[in-house]
Amino acid sequence: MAFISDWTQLGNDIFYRKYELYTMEWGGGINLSDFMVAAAPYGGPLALTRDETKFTKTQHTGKPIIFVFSSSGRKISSFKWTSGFLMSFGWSRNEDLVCVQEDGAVTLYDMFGNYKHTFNMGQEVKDTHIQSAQVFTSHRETGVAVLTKSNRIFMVNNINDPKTRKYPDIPGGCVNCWCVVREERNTNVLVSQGRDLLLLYLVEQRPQALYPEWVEPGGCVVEMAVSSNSRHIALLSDTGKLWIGSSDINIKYCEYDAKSQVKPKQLAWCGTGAVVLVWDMTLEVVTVNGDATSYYLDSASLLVQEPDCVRIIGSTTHDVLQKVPLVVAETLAIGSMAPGALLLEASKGFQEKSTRANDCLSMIKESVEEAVNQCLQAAQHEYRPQVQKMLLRAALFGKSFVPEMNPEPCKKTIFTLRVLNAVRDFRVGLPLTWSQLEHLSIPVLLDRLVLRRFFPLALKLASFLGLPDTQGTSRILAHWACYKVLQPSQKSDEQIAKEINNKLGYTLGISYTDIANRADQAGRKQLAIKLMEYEVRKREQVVVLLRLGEDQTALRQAIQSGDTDLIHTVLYRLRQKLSSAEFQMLVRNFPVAQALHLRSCRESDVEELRDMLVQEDLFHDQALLRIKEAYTTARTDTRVALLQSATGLFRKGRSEAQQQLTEEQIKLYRIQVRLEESYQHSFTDLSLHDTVHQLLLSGQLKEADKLRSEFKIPERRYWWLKVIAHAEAGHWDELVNFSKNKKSPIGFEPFVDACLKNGNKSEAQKYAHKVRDENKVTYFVKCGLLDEAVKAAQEQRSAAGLTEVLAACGPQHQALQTRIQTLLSDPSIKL
Amino acid sequence: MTEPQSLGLDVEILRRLSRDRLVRVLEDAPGSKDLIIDGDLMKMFDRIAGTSLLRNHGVGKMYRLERLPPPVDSGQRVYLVKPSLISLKYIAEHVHADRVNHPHLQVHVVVVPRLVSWISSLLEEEGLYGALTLHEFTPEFIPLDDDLLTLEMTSFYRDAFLEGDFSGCVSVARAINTLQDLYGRIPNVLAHGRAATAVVNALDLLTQNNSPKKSNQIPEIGYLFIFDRDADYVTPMLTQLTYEGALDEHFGIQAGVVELPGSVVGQEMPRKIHLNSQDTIFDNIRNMHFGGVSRYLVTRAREVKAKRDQTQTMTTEQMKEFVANELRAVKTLQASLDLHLQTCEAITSATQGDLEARLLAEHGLVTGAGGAASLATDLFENLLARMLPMPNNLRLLCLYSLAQDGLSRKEYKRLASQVVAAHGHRHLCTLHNLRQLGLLTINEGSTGTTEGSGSGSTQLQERLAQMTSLLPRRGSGWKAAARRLGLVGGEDDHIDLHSPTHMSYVFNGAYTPAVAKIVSDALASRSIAPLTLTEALKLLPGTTVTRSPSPGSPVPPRVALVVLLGGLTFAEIAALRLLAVISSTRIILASTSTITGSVLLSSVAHL
Repeated sequence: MAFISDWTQLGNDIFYRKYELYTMEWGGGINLSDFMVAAAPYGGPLALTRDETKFTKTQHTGKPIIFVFSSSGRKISSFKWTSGFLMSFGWSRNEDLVCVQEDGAVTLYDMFGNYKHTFNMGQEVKDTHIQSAQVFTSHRETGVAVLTKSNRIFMVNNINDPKTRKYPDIPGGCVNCWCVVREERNTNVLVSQGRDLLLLYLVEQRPQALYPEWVEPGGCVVEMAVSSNSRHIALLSDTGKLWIGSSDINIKYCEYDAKSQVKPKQLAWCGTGAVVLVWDMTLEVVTVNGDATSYYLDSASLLVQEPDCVRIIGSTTHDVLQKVPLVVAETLAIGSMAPGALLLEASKGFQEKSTRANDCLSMIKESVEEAVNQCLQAAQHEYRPQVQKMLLRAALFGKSFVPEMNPEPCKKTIFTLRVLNAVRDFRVGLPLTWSQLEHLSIPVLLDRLVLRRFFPLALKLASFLGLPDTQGTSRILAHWACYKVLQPSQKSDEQIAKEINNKLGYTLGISYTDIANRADQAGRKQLAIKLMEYEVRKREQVVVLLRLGEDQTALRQAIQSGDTDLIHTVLYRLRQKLSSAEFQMLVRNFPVAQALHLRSCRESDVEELRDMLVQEDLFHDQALLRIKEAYTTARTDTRVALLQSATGLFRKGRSEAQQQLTEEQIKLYRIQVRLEESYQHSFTDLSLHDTVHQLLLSGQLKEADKLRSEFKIPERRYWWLKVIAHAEAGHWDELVNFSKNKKSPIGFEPFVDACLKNGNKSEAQKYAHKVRDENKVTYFVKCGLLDEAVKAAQEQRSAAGLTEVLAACGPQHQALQTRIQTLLSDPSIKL
Repeated sequence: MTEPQSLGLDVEILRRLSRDRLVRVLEDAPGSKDLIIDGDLMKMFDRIAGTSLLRNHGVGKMYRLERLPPPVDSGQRVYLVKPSLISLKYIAEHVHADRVNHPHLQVHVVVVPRLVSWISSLLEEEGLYGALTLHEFTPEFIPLDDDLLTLEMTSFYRDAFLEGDFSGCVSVARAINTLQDLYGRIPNVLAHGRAATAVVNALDLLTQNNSPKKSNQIPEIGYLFIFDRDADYVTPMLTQLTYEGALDEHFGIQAGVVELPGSVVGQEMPRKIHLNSQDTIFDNIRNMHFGGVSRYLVTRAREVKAKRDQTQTMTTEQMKEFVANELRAVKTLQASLDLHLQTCEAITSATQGDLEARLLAEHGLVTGAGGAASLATDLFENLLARMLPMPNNLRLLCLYSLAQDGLSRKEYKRLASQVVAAHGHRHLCTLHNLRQLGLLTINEGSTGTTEGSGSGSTQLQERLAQMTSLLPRRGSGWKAAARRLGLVGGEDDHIDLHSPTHMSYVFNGAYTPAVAKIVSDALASRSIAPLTLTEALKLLPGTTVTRSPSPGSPVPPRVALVVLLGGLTFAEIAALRLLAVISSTRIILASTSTITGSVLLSSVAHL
């Protein structure tokens, strides 16, 4: 059968298969052995450059060129290597090309040859230079390890956060080979030197010698390879013996004699089950059980180790070598009696309308569900669509006998296989296996497509899989936009921005800020500004506009947002950026901003406030500012000067009333200062009324009278002041004299109230007789003169008055109460 | 009064939200800590969290934020401050001072209600970047009662209307948005004024970010009204006549708590009393016209006394039952009655004589009665001469100006000089502020140039005027607006003050608070903003924003949220509570804080 013709049996029920993925598009002209090559795992890109250590015919002189190809040999980019001597390169987990130079400088490029960043392995590396370097996958990230010419090992565990670590020294002498071994979170280095095998721990002082169990000890290790999961290791000795065991060297799985005096060009793990050795034209597969087989190659090839297989890249073809998954072996192997195999047979029979269908089905009656799953899983691991189809058809056929079976696995398999087939296409060139995709996850796959600028495919896959917008469509579109703004174009910036907006709309998860930032980085400031118009998040918009130098627009947008905090932010930045005059000129066009600015000035920066008020010819406000200042100073002369300048400003602002009031205040203030000197009492912060009050309290009647005439206090008001002050000070005689002096313009009610307020009822009674008639009853009651109150009410013939008195009567006023009652019954009393 | 039917909206949940958020902030500084609170925030935190809650979350000592740092007692210090320059300067000084002796002191700064970006820049300038940790605490509306919410943003009025800083609007919008999260998007919106518009805009932005699921929720609140304080300045300027209003005028209510001086309650220490509907006596009298309160209290006191007298003749069985079931209730009733009788007496004796004259002048001004103007100026002069507190005096002045649609230049000069003589020259600034706010206006008529500005210097002022939402010649406004909205005078001339049916009862029938009237008109009509109403609103400063549900939406529930930006008076609260009963609508009132006219004016006075 065609689909198992490429299988090779290695041991019991273990098969290996080699399948041709692509015919390399680069044509046959490339001899890989002339190049330094690095291939990224998970079907990633290939980087090639002329191997400087070899003599080759070159078309170019001078600086070498780095070519980047997809796995199918399609050229992605090429760029000239301009830095120092390139020691080694490799791919990071994000598919960036990591180039290590002889002096320890590490430079990162994306697959399109765009420079990303550079870091350094440290001074010592720079001084001593590198002997060899390795780019490896560490615990979470990609790392770089180097061996200097002085036999020291340095390592950076994470290229995004480069911290150089130095490993324990190894004795002098030639290092045969070395590799990085991950162990949980630690990264150790295994070094073969002479006949020794040394393990370097970062934390240990000195290396630890290891002694793998060789059948014939004495050889030295010349090549080593660690499996992708870091659990297993393969060591090759100079005598051609291959030792396979656990990566801590404690357990030996097998030892295999390669029977070759020629050192293989490369040693790699195929998944975890076998080690692959490659020479110029042959390839040998050795399983961990020691079974081996060999293949012939038609050109020098490169091995790319993957977690579940190994890829073999030759000049013309790109193959994958993998252990046939058990489920596939069971389903497809000839004569297999596994349920899956029988179901497949039944399905085929059904299509041929043969009774075989029934026979086979009856054999798996009990395990149709298992059979369906087997077929599905087998399909998952197949590369050829027709085999996938055949298996899926069998699965669906089987499923129709189990109506209650969960359809999800079927659906998922079919959908995912479509995705896999789509990305495996030679135009895309991502030869992922099912398990690799499981490990990467769909979003990462989409990212990788976006990274390769397959935007339409990514979009199609996202909508095919029904991913939510934020994960799928809008994220892809955002990336597209970021790419779009970098492309040179004939169109105007406005048009480009509009196009982007048309495509992107205002979907959730799209950040115009990011796109604009990208445009700005590419030096397209105008485009960035245009793009920012579409940003809905005002804060982002304003911040970016500010950075782009669009002060006016930023301020306008901030004001539009109605977010005061944002306006403050803009003002704050602008104030740092612009000169005071420029700032004021800008701000005066924006009343909202100006108001906020004035406010913060009022709180913190009086000078600036004054400046602005002067600028705007606001005399009235300037004057008020002076007045405020005047009352914060205690110095007499300063205060007078400030108040005087305020009057001047009021005059300029034609505020006559305020001017006059301030002039009077200066007069008052001078008098207060004098009073303070003569009477040892604080006057300066008092109002005119308070000053008079204070003078009256302390009995300075003459001074009070003087003030009164000076400031033309109206008579009524002066009476009030006097009454209140006299009563408060207990100057009862003065009060009496005063009341007799003239007819009171304010009546005598205030006298009574003032006396009562200060708790002097008898004094109050003196004035109660003088109050106006209509208030008499009330005031008599207030003073406790109930008899008089009754009399007054009686005179006025007022029932209301009488009731008022009655209400005020206590138990001691029995007689009075009865009198009022009789009076009330008198019909002549008004009701 | 019968209570409007509760529709299951539990506003108490808001307090829980705030409390949980506060706890989270406190736990950001795990372990024991000292708390230092901005004085302005004290009352609010009292309402959100009791001391026991704070203690449970590691709070040791509590201090008020002052210039000098308090002693260092524990390893951590948490500041709760508003984002004001002065508070932050104090904190910076504290940190610099303590750094020498207590290098390990950890400082956390919690900014209420919003961590604004300039704070970190400021701290950077002070060299404190990294020396302290910044947090944000955004309180929700704090329920003072089941129909009254407050944000306790006491400086909102000054910030927005005087300084033109509308930052507070975002916090208000956030708080309203929380309500929408809980009770569904409110379909009908009527907002008027600059700040209100800003709130609606901010709210729109916030709702955009809400999950679409929310928009399908059936709304439990049908109407949202948002107004600026300057929509009706007359109400706060008038003396409040309901019992709760009178309490606020005399003793000051902050965050629903009144502090009665010892002389009133007959003890040495002042007593703090939480005012809410849990006190049944208070619930009955809070919205009553003050004139009827004492009569009601006396009647109830007699009832209680009768109840107690019954006990004299009870059998042992009855007695047991009484003690088990009723004694407690009767006792609390008695205590509450005593308390309110005492405060009633205190208020009556304090206002005796003055109140009638004041009301006569005020109501005369509002209704435009003949002779009221001269009555008011005489009274004003007397008030100044008697050296009474300034805010109260200015209230009359402002009312005078508002009701006359502005003062003549000559009159202004005369009154201003009296104010300055009585209260000090520095209050020129206060007067200026009042003019900026439109509380005081000068009617130019045909004479002379514009006060305070040469011809060339008006620009900024005009622009600032636009900012602070005052129309430069607001004078044309109030009389016309009041007529249009029908604020002056009731439908019938005689208003029953003690079992009211008309909202103007809160001002003896002279005036209906504009906000209450607008809400009432909107609720009575089919659409939220009938044409007559929008036309009338044009006469008030600012612009109107309305939102109506798409046609065919279900009938909105009769639940309305009324938000007043810049302070709400208890007179308005009482009027709206009456409206709730009349229109059988549940009305929830929300505000930046509860105020009286005097509080409003003190907040913009220059000190």
